[in-house]
Amino acid sequence: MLEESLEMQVEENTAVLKLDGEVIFDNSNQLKENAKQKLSQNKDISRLIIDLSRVPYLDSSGVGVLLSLFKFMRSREGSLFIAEPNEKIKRVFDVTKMTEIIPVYNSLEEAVTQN
Amino acid sequence: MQKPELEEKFKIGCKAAEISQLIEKIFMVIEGSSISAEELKFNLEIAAREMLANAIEHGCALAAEKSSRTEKMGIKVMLKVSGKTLKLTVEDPGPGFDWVKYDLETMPVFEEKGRGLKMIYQVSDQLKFNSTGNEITAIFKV
Repeated sequence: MLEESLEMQVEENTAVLKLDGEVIFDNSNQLKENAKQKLSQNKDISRLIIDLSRVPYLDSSGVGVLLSLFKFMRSREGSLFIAEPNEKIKRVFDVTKMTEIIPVYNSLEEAVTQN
Repeated sequence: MQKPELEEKFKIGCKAAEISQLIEKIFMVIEGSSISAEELKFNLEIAAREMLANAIEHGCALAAEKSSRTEKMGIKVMLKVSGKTLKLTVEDPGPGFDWVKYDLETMPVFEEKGRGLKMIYQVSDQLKFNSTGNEITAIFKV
């Protein structure tokens, strides 16, 4: 996943990180580093929403990226939410029990309105 | 011995970019068969993607450390349906690993790595390895 397939929009203390394309072992490390770099540039962000609406698939390495960002946000006493995963990705979350750690919402609007 | 109703062999290079296309080919073969269960397809895709990722990330990478002819390296994939089982086998060019000592059941909680094989174990009905550990077969009931 290249730099341009990762967009971040910030409003007050909330950032929406929109990913575009598969998140798999081949690009997961670079994606994680790019995301952390963007987040490090704005210390006011305390809520991060990862928008997966344009991600067709996310493998076990992708789950690792989400957990890494979850820990990154927790280290700055912030929170992380996931929005709009497709049915395949929901199944990956079920199998890895990721939903027990990170809240997942069916729509971006729903995730944005959570406290 | 029962004759397989379906048997297809595929080969890809050690490249992540070839995974999606191979998954499409596997699903095209399945579409032409009597298998229709959506749940099975979800599970098969998860298993196939993790098996291929492991083959590239570990098998190909370790093989490349011992040989300069990386462009000739490839991953062999076999899909076989017979009776009430579907078998997906992936063989990589690497030296394998000690699967006997590997814990397949405990899913990591906060760790960033170590989920791939456990996911395959979770979604399949049975998992088999060859003795050297460079060939894995996920078996599904159809």
